[in-house]
Amino acid sequence: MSAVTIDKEKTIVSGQEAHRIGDCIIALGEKLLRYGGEVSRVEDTVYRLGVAYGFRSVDCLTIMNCIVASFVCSDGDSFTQMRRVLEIRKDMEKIRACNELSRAACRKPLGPEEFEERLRGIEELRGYIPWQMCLVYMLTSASMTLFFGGSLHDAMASAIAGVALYLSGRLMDFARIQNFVTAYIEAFMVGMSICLLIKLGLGDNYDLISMGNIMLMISGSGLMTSVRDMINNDILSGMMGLLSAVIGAAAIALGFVSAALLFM
Amino acid sequence: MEGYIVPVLCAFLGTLGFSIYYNVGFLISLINAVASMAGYFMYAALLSWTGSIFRSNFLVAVLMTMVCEICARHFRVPTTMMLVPMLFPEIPGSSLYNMIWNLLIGEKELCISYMTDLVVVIAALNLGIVLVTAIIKIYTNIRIRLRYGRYEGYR
Repeated sequence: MSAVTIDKEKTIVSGQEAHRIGDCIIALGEKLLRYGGEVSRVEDTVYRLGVAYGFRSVDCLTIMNCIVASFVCSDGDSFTQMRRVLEIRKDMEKIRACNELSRAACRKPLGPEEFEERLRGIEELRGYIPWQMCLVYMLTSASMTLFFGGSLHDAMASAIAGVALYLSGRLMDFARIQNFVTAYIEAFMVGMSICLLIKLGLGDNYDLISMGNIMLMISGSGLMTSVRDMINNDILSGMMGLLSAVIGAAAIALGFVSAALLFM
Repeated sequence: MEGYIVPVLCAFLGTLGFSIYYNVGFLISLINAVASMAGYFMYAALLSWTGSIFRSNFLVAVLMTMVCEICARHFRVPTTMMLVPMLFPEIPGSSLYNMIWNLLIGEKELCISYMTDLVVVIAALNLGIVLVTAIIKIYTNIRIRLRYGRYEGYR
């Protein structure tokens, strides 16, 4: 196999390096999927990059947690790769960074080393630090409780329950179990903490405090991206996403309600 | 009017928090929060004017998707980064909770009523998003076709 040639028009002719570039492209697609990108965005990114790097043909099939991409080089050599995404963790900043990398590489194809370096850079991007996230949980839960008609007393209890939600989320990160089971356990633990707060006299309305916390847990993005996937002809992914969001939402509500029925 | 102040402010704070929860940068989070606040104000006004949950949610979804598509192109960020937080206050968390609650305590009629509300809100929001997204997709495809001739895809 000949070595890669990124010529003046920035196109790959063939060779081992073409495989490396294919690797990078599918790794970028995998990151997009893992951080909550829509299926159509993943496929579009893989196609665009494939064309920008001069592959003769690119085919990509993505479903909710799997990508298969096949590349045909200009000399007729072809290869196929499959990546399975086991855990989806929404991170919009990383999706934006993936998009930027894709745009930059389409405008001016990067060499494999630079591409890999930038991929590592995306992985190393750090979000908000733990105490900031904890504050965000408190702020969102408290304001949503007020939004649904709760009193200031309820909002205060909701903010404390928000801390419980944050801590239970971190705890569940260690338990590698099915998403909706995790959601149910998290909701149940937060529900118990709300019961305790009410018994201590720190809140009045269990339902309003719970609703404030539920809003943070429900996968609104799941509901919306799945519909967008369906519009883009990805019926299978859309249906899977929708079903997953609905089961997740039901599990969360069940967690809160069962805690109330047991401990109130 | 006075009754709107607390929910509208809470929509702002809630959306700001929700955006940060999804690790959206602070500037975009702030834009999301302002848009979501305006969206919720419009929703409340439409609800009191039309009295229809479907119509008000649908119109808010149409407006928010348009705002989001414009802002996403302007700031060069993915649409999802803005659309999901902007519609955060409209997500029917309370209907979901009440539906499950009534299901578990055996209040079938109330459960069905909340379930209907839930389905109506989700359908209205998604139909609004679908409408605007489809129009933009058609416009983009026509533009590509006019500029590059017949669109053959990437193959």
